[in-house]
Amino acid sequence: MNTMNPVIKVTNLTAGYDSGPVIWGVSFEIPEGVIAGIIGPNGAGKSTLLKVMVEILKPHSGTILFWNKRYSEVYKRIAYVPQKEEVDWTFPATVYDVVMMGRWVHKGLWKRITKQDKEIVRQALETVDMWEYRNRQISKLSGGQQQRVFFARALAQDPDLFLLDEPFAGVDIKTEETLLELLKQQASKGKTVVVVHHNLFTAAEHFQWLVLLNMHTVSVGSPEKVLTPKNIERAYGGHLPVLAKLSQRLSYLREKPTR
Amino acid sequence: MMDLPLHIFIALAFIGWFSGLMGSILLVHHRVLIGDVLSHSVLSGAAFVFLMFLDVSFPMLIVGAIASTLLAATLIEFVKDRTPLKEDVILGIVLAFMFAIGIAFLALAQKMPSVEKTMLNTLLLGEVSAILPSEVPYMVIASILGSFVIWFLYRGWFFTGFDTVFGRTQRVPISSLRKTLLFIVASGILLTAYISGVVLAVGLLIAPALIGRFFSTRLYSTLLLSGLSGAVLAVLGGVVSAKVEGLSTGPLIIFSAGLIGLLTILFSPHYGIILHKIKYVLFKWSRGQENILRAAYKVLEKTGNMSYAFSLEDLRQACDDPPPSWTILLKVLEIRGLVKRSGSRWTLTNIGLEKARRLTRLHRLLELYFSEIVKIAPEKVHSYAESLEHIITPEVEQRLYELLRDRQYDPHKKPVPWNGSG
Repeated sequence: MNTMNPVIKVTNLTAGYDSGPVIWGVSFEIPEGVIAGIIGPNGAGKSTLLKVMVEILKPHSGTILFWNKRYSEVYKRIAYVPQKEEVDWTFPATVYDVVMMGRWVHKGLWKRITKQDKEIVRQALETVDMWEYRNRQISKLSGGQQQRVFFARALAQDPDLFLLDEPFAGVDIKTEETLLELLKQQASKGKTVVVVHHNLFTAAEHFQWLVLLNMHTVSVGSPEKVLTPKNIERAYGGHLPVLAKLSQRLSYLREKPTR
Repeated sequence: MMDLPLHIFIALAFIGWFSGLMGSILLVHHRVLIGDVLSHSVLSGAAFVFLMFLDVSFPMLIVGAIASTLLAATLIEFVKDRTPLKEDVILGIVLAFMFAIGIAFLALAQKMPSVEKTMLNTLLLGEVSAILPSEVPYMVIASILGSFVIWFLYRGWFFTGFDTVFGRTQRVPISSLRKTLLFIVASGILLTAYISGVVLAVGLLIAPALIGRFFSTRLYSTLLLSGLSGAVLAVLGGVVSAKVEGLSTGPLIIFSAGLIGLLTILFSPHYGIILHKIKYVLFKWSRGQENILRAAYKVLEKTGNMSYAFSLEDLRQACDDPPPSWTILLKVLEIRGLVKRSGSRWTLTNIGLEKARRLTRLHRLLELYFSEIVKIAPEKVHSYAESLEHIITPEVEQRLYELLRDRQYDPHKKPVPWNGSG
């Protein structure tokens, strides 16, 4: 991983809603070609952070740069996968239509869909193992299938950076594993993946880079560096039974040779 | 269309088509009520223009109506952006406000010494015979134009209706698209109101949209189907009202639309209430038959005599999930050739015995599966097996047989009937 040229550089970011900021003075960098996790307790501002990054929310202050450029210059290279609950699954569309949206963002409202676009959509659907379901109405999908369709749409967009908001919430273990495998493939191709994730226990195994957040940045870096008892106590508070369980995992991680 | 002049036929078909399109695009955005508010607002503008200029020619009507619907649309957006009020509240307020003004203007207009004011009354309830041949080109052009705009923005509706978050990240102009939708409806609703009346116009939006939505799975087919059914419904209402003296077209169109909309809700393949109910009842009855067969097997097993003639009382005691009706279902089983009746006793035929044995085997293997592999306490497994044995597919059944083929007893120490010996 190349830490000299970060894909994402967030500096002193304060952001939130009209009622007041949710995250305060957050700064971190994410290097190229990693699967990075943004983790932290409920209400830590993880999803808020992601939404500010893609300019759905305006920051109160601070800067966010992607490849040293502003979001408005590079948004087509960035695929954002919203939480499943944020969209209307009763909309009359098939799986194929949804994945085609990933091509539409490059084509605008009117530009023709070419053979190549259709081929990209087919490959994306095959990659997530949903090609058979291409004509299925989206209201008839399971949670795991919905997540696969969303990921296929992100693939169809052919981005260099993936931003996923809680992709593993409410999906079965098999889908979680498959998705993770797919994300790893993308990272191995030099693409960068950022995942908002709430499960501290799987964080160490899933991600190569972590941003531990609780309204402020608690710690940033490799899992070995971030997941220390001290940091976790700062992010989650001291009285959690998680700490005991986690310390076991951590000692296991430290004994492991470098990843 | 014997009694329906050609120009009216054309006007109804085009306006019906366009209304269906508007309705379905509003429906997928969950904003159908906006159509109701805007159609009610038509009246105030039209009446205002009449009061000002004593002129109800079609172009003047268009100007007045569009001015007032746009005012209503702006009002809705303005209040929504600046207050924490929910949309339904805002819509209610704006509808009542705009309609009240319209009614007041209408009352004033009644005092005017002009024959043309009847035009305003037809606007209230809709009367297609008032459509003049000279107005039809406006209506056709406006309908085609509106349809094209909806069609041109096809991809946009996925972002505004399905996934606005993704749309925003890709800089899709969500807010402009939504305003455009409002603008299309604000301008187009006058046409709908013209044939069905301002009060009922929303019906000509909803009914075709429901048909389109219920019978298709994609946006383009939803749009096409809604448009077509809108055209058919409007023409149908027009034909009927032309045949029957004294019936206004508006209510007739809406009545037929509402009726078909209702039938759609009851019978459509995906959402139809009736079909669901029928399927449910059929399932309950087939489950009942299976339960009787299994109860019979238990009785026979106890007596050790597979050709034993059992009574209803025997079955009652052996069955812990009683069927909806013993007599009817036993009769059905008899007709199917699974049981044979002699007086007040029944025996299982060979096919009946084979089916009963299979059900018992499945039930006991499911119990085994739940207690040993899923590790659920043996006293609880019965009810799981009970509900699953009726719906399991042949493949799963086969897998279960392979998985547990060497087991002879279920968790309650009852034998698994693998073969004919029972």
